[in-house]
Amino acid sequence: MAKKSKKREDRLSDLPDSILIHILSMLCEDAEDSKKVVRTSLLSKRWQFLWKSVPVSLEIRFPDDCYSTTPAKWERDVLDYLNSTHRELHYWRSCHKIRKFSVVFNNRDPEKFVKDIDLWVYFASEVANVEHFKLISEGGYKFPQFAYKNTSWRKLDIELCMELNPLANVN
Amino acid sequence: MSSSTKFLTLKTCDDKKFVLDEAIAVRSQTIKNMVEDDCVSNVIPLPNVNSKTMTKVIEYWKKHSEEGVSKDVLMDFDKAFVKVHHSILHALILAANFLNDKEILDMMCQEVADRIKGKTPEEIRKEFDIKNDFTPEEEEEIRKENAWAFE
Repeated sequence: MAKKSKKREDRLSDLPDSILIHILSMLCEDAEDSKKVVRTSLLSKRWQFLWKSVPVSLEIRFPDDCYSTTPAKWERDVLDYLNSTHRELHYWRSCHKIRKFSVVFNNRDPEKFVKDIDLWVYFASEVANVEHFKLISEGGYKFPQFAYKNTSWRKLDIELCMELNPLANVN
Repeated sequence: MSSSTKFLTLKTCDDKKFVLDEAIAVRSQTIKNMVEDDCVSNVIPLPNVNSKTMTKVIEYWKKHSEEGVSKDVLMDFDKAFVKVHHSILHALILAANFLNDKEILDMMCQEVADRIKGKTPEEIRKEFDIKNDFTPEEEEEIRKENAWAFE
């Protein structure tokens, strides 16, 4: 086959939305890669908002207790982590669908971070359209009442040390 | 091949005809549906696919229908198959979409994704000849808005 001269034409951007979204979803099979999808917003106007239609997966993994650092440093790391996580979730709200949102909280002292975990559960149940919510928590975290009524979850994995105790009907 | 082999004639948008074993052509779900619904008369028109692209598709179908081909050979074939200019990738994606061949569609989309991965927006634009239609001010604005994703 004779090689045609390569035309400098942007064909990719002409593809239908559904295919471009399919391509973008292949960028982020790992939860760590989800931000890469957002970076394509800079390519051109055609791409600016496509990332919002890509069903990404997000993961929150609470920093391990690390005995190799000082308690003060660990506390600072945790604070930084929580701040950046809450900030990022604020942006992910505009995603039309989140395929999977996992929270892994393996700290033995959840009381101290109840508000943070509540915020993540709130994000998963009220704020974003999350299909699969996974929550693993050590210690005595109580699954909040508001989250028993949820219509977007199609799959829910919970591993808590406390029993679930809904006070009303569960959806 | 058995004597009961049926052949189908496919006609691309540039009026080229391809005669193909039905067992191979039904890798396309679109063609398979037509065959099953008995909608196939003499010639199946493929108004969205040109002959150059169809030649590539048939090359893939035939290789993947061959008997006794090892996995390694097929992997090497696939690797070579996707190493084409992005204009051909684009044509194959549209053809696979129309023919409803998920295997080719996914392979081509994965190739595009792989070419995007690990590149800066500037590099991606260059790879696919994407024209940056933002004003510098607009681009700066988006960069600021999405700065969290560039960390």
